[in-house]
Amino acid sequence: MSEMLDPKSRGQLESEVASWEANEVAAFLKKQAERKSQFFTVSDIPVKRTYTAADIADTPLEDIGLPGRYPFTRGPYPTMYRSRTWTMRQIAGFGTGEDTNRRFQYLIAQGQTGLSTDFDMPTLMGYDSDHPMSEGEVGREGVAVDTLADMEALYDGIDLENISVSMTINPTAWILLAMYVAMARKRGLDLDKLSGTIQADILKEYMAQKEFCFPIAPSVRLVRDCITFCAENMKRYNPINISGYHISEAGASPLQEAAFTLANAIVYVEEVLKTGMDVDAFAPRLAFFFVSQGDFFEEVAKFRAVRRCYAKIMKERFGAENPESMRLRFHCQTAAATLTKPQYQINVVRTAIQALSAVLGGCQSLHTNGYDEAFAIPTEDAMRMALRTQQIIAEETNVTNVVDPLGGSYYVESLTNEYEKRVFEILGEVDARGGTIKLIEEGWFQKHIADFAYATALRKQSGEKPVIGVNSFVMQEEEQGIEVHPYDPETAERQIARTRRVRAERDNAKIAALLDRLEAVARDETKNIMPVTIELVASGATMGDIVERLKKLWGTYREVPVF
Amino acid sequence: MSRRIPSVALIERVQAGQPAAIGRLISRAEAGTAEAREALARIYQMAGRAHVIGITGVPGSGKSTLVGKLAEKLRKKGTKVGIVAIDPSSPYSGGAILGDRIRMTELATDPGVYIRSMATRGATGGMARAALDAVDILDVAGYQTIIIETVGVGQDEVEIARASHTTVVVSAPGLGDEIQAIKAGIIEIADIHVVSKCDRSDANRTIIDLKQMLMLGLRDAPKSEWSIPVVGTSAISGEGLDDLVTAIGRHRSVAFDTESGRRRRIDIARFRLRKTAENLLLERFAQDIDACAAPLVEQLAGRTGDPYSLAEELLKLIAREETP
Repeated sequence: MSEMLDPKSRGQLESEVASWEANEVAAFLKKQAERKSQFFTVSDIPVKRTYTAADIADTPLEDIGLPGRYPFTRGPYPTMYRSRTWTMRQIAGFGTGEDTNRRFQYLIAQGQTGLSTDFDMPTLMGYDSDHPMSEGEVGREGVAVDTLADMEALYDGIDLENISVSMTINPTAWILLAMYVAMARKRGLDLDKLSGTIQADILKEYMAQKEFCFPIAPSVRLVRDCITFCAENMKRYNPINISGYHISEAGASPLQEAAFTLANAIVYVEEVLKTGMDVDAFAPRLAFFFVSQGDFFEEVAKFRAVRRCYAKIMKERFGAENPESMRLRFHCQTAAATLTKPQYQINVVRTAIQALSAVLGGCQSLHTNGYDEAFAIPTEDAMRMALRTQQIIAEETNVTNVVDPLGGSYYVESLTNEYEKRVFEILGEVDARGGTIKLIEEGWFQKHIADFAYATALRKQSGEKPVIGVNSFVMQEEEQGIEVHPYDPETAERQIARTRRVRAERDNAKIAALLDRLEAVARDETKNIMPVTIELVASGATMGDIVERLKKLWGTYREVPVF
Repeated sequence: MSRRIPSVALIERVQAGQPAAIGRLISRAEAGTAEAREALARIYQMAGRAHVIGITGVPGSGKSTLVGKLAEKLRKKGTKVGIVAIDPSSPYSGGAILGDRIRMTELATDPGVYIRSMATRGATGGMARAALDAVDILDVAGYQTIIIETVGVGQDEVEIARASHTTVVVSAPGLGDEIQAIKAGIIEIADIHVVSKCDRSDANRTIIDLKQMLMLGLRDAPKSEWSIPVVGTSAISGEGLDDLVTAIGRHRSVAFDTESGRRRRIDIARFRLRKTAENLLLERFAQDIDACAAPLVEQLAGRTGDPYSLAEELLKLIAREETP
């Protein structure tokens, strides 16, 4: 395919630009200097005064391409939001299964089109609600799930064959997936009709979010088992949501988010390939999760660039043949770290703008943050406002009428190219330094994240990076009469009562035998851990039973603090 | 012969940069002799031009190596560098004075560098005063940058590092939890953080934890003229040393040209006044106690009195002695 400009027109354009710089720009600068001598994106990528066709003249036309066609720069599907707008997927989770179920029912009634579940810390870390470590945390920041009975209460009355369900769960993801499968079988549902995802991206936990139970190797094996199990048994289900969001929230730049997430994706693909499974048998179900940050055009370019990078990686590095294996689909969430307590109402505006860049970047599903999330998990009011924000973008702005409306923008295409170049440079460095897992163990990614986080914190403190309400346009005497989500102190009691009832009613000899089998399967890396886990949860095993047994075998992972 | 030259007469030679005179006056400052006071008072009023950098960190953090490398860099820019190394008494490192000297040998022959180690042993209370006098002497002798190196263990050492225009705190990977915990008290005094030995991969962990900890403090910090940089250095590869020199240079202008720099100098003056007064008090106390204590000690030994009331009584006696 040809390039964007023939050499003659390009030469003309370049001399045109030079003359403009020498005349109009120079004359104007004499009257008034620009606000800065150099402007940068949030990721510190320098940007020019303006962009022209000359800046993308070297871009092969096929790199930009068309929506739904390799390399998917312009979107994973040919018709995008013209067929169906993105899934509006507000996350929810607090208290017991019943509490969160009520919030789900409310959100569905308000027009939400997908569900997303937040779990409490004990569930995320693999402790039962009555474990001493769980004290004070049960149902506080998410819903508590110990047993299949909790899961059944959580999704009670929800049509799981027609609404997709996402579960934000990592080190213990395979147990929740097992509960989900056990619940679906009990209800007589067709596993191949279930859609949704578990997050299950353990590598970003070691890099950024720090929620882990086991050492890296067995943790990655659990992810592998989820991927292969779903490839064989749940053809519409995403077994992983490879996530940049938490890397970003830990302080990484958008560029680091993009590159580190792809580095993790490469590890998962390699791990599954080692089992002998064909890349096209599982890659189409790999899903991603990115943040939408504050730099509007950088975010759009980031989303477009990761799609292109991923397509090239899957095709060139892993030899995928099915275009669906090269097609990156992602969930997006606006950036919680940009929300402020002062003048909290303006968080609605931040979120709306971030949501718009997610939509112009072509997301498949979206969570918009509540205006009150700098204080606590969101109230119903805040979630409704956030959902309405998405509905306005979808229904009132007409940005959904045209696929990739920013495609061809000199600036956006230039920045997309720059992103691709820099992402591959970082991936090249990761390979050269011995690969992702080795570098996680050395703290290489973590240090890069900490460096950028610290630089950002300094810029906010100095005022170089404005944050409205915090370091600029500060209101001195502000009323903060905000109503935050309440925590029901009886949650733990209610939750623990159910867990104890399940333990009392189950066949303990059967559980013991199954736990022995679990251990045997865990010892044999060639086996898949899912089937025995499904049997365990169906028989009333708690998450703690399973995790504790495996901790004895695999040990735990500890980061020794230096200070 | 040396003893006969009055301290005041050494001032001119110090101003001329004569190493022997500098050394002699510092020794007298260290000894705390009354004879030197007049000279040191004059020196104080002449000083104030040099950029004083306090460098501190736990034992083994690579401070001395860093000081040596930093001095080399500054020398290349033509800056005359004075180094006052304050060495703890034996419990930690009896041989450290010698060790430091060896590490600094390339510099030892350079006339643009003056290195002085001061032992803390026996100088309780007086060390801070003596060290800061030494800084002034080097200042008057024409050294443009003066580095005070202290071990970041102990109140005095930390305070001395703080009594500078620019405080650099050095951390290093792999020192173990206990030692790092000691350092917790010096983290907050840094204008610049250095993580040394960055050629080691476990330095990442040190940088990450340090930055995360600093970020907690930044969250509610008011706007300031200075952002605290974290500089990774390696004495082996030379990595980061230029960044450190740049950061020190940038902080110099904050220290000399801004309101926060002025407030810092007021703090240093307060510290200096307090330390000097403390010193005088202790000196007098030491003399007076000999004169007044004997009968009280008898009572205490015979258990006819208790330490609390007798100490009160002693203070009253001393006060009476001092009132003419």
